[in-house]
Amino acid sequence: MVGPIENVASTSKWIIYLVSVAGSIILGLIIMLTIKERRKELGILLAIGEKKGKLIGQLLVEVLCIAALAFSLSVFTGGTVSQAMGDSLLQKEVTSSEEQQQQGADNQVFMFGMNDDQGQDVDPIDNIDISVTSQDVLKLGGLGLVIAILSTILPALSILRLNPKDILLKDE
Amino acid sequence: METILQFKNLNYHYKSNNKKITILDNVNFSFQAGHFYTILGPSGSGKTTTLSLASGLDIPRSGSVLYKGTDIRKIGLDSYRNQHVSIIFQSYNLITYMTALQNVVTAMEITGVDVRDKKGRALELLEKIGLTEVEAKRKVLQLSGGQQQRVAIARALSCNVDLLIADEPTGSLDQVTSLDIIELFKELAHKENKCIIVVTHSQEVARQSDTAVYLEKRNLVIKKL
Ligand SMILES: Nc1ncnc2c1ncn2[C@@H]1O[C@H](COP(=O)(O)OP(=O)(O)O)[C@@H](O)[C@H]1O
Ligand SMILES: [Mg+2]
Repeated sequence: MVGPIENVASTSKWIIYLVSVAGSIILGLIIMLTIKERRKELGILLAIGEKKGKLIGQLLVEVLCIAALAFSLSVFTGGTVSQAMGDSLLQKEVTSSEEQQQQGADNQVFMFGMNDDQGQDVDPIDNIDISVTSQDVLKLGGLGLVIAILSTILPALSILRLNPKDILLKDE
Repeated sequence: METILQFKNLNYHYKSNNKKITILDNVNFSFQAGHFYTILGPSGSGKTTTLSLASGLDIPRSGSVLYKGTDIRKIGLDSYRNQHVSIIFQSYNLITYMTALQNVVTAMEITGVDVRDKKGRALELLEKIGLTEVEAKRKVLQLSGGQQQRVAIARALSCNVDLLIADEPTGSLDQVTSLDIIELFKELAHKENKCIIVVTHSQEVARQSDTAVYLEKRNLVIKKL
């Protein structure tokens, strides 16, 4: 009986996809707003002669600093949280599969000779021991890095279109 | 005299609603080092536009702006603004979440000015222009308009460029202060051989300058006051 653990695995996978995509979009939008808010400041720096590439780089460094902070926080708390989450997810799956088996047993009356007891001799997995390996950390760190860079660079490209003259001379 | 900035067959127009507004029509003019210029003209005549061309914030429709003989597009507008010209705006344009001191130091860092003690030099400049150390360490929004403009001037001076361009820098200052600032511009031109170009509405300021230039009929004309 490995069904429960497989379900947990696929649920977790979906959570990762969802969080990655939603996270990128939200982060991208926040950065877009930040750039809009800081238009004036960026215009001033451009007027003094700062290079646009440097401004984008600075934005990226700011985001990566926060990402690093968030990441180290998650490395220390991740084990505990995912143990709790894994337990509760598995518990749900185990309960629902037990119910299904219960139903299966009820139905047996009508299914003579068709009861194969495949896997029944294996102890059901009803607890998981979660350990965050350094490989996991590396993988997640990489994923986080890609998300942070992508959702910064894309909105930051709008900096390339900024014209300091428009920003600084128009609102007079 | 050394020509530092030259307009060559300069043309500029805006297009709005399919209407062409010509601002500069085939302008030829040279600005010399060690000289303090004022530019005068009615509102909307194109003074700010002219300054934005001179400072590399915009490019002419045709013709060219030469810095010491080289087209500023060849220097690169970013590099030109970074290394050769400083701009003082009508509306200060300071970074509001920074202190006066930080504004000046940031500009020095961007332009990579060759000064070891940037903070010390910035404080010195701010003091020279009339801000105490306490005021220099205040956020710029906690300073008066006149003080903010002084910070902007100190920021422009911090970059050791030989061309200083200002758009009505004394417009929001009282008369005593603005004459102080003009005195400072004069000193910079005559003692440090800088070229100073200032747009002003004030005849008084224009009288203090070496050359008063009028923006008239889409051209720059020197007038004796
Ligand atoms: N971005 C723009 N698009 C269209 N017209 C503009 C633009 N900027 C300025 N103008 C027009 O060009 C003229 C000159 O503007 P400006 O250089 O700001 O004059 P000044 O500084 O002498 O008051 C004005 O009539 C103004 O309305
Ligand atoms: Mg103007």
